[in-house]
Amino acid sequence: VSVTRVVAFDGTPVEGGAGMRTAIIEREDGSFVTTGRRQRRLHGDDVRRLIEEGYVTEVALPIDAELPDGIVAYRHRDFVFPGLALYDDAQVWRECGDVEVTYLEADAASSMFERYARAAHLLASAALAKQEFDDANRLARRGLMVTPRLGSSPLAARLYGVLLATASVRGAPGSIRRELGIMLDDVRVLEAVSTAAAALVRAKRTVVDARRIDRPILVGSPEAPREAA
Amino acid sequence: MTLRVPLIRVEGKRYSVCPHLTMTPARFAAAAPLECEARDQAARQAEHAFGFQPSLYFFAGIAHPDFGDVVLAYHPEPSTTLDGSSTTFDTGGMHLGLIKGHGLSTPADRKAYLDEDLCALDAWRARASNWIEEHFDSIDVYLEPDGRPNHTDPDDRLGHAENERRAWAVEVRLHGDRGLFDDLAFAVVSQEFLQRALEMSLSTPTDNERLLELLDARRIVQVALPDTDPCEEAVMRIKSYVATQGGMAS
Repeated sequence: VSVTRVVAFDGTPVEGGAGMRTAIIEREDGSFVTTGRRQRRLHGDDVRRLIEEGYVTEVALPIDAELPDGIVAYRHRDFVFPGLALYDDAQVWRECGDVEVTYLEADAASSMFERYARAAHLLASAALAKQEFDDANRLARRGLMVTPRLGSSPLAARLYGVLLATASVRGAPGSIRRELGIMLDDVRVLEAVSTAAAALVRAKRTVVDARRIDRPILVGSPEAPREAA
Repeated sequence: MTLRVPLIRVEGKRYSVCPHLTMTPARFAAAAPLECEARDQAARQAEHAFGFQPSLYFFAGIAHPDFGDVVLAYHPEPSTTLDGSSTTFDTGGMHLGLIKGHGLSTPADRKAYLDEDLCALDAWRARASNWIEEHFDSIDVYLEPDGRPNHTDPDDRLGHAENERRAWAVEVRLHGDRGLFDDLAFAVVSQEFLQRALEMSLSTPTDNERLLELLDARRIVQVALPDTDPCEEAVMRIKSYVATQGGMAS
């Protein structure tokens, strides 16, 4: 039975990334069309050539396209961490080489990615609190990859706040400070800076965990954790 | 009047005949040069058939093919000693027989047609300006992704019903590799591409500094979600470039 289906999407995925791409749909009559504002008709020969030459990424198992004008959302298998699959029961994802793909309305994809960005912020903040700075940076960047309307987004400000806090702890905040000044509007820049400041204050208040001290300390001595705290 | 129409290159494809993805965030962050090696099979065959050297390919003002993750727009006066040439159509499409018209049915016909149209690199702007003025209602029509000539020509290339953009896009070829950001007017990339490039650049301060400089000068622009298509964003920026600084000869 012939159905309308998504057979490919625009370009090539970013390794370790996630995003939204224009879909290429095969219609029931065998014609091909791209989705999005610039809907273009394509010849079958063109589509085959574009796939073969690498201009577009073929979807391994075509997806039935009930929506006439959706987008393809993709997420690389290493989007969160290498080797860690992202479970999301709100959306059906299809394996497609190194990425998973799904086809949905642009607004729905935007909402879904905003959820991912919020989750990334929570995880990044937790990693920062635990002083796991590499993880905090990675998670914050993943959130920024998928935050809608990034320049004016409070969520983006908080994610940049995590990056700024980790860079400050490492003694080199200049680059991130400059980046967020370029990427965010003025209001969000202030939010990012105050997010970072709050995170740094919280980090200083963190009580030393006696179980992680690598040298013996006599209970009751001046170096004992409780007294130090 | 000689137009200043930027030279456009759409990158980020995984050609079957090229060993690596033509543009990745890591290559972008490191300013890896544009390589002649990164061209598709049709371009290689066309070079062989038409007697070209291995080339870097650009379209004047057209972010086409529509498919790619990274749109690079260069100032139209390449500050290079590289040799090159230009035609008023896509030579890969011509070689494959995708461009229809009278007297274009055999490889020999197509070679003869190309030789007639061929223009040296240093004359491409004047030639393209005259050609666009002669065949399009305005420069804006030419810059539209679906822009069409306002009349056909004796060979019917410009009026043939089966022809599309590739049949009337000025192609410029440079014979050699060159710097990614040399003469860059602007680049349009996806949000995740830019974030990944920024992330990767942090380990090399000079790379990070360069990216931030380009971002600050708005020479790198991201397509922020929920928008998805760098080529679409590029059309507006190309028109703006031509409108603000493209009218007069330099």
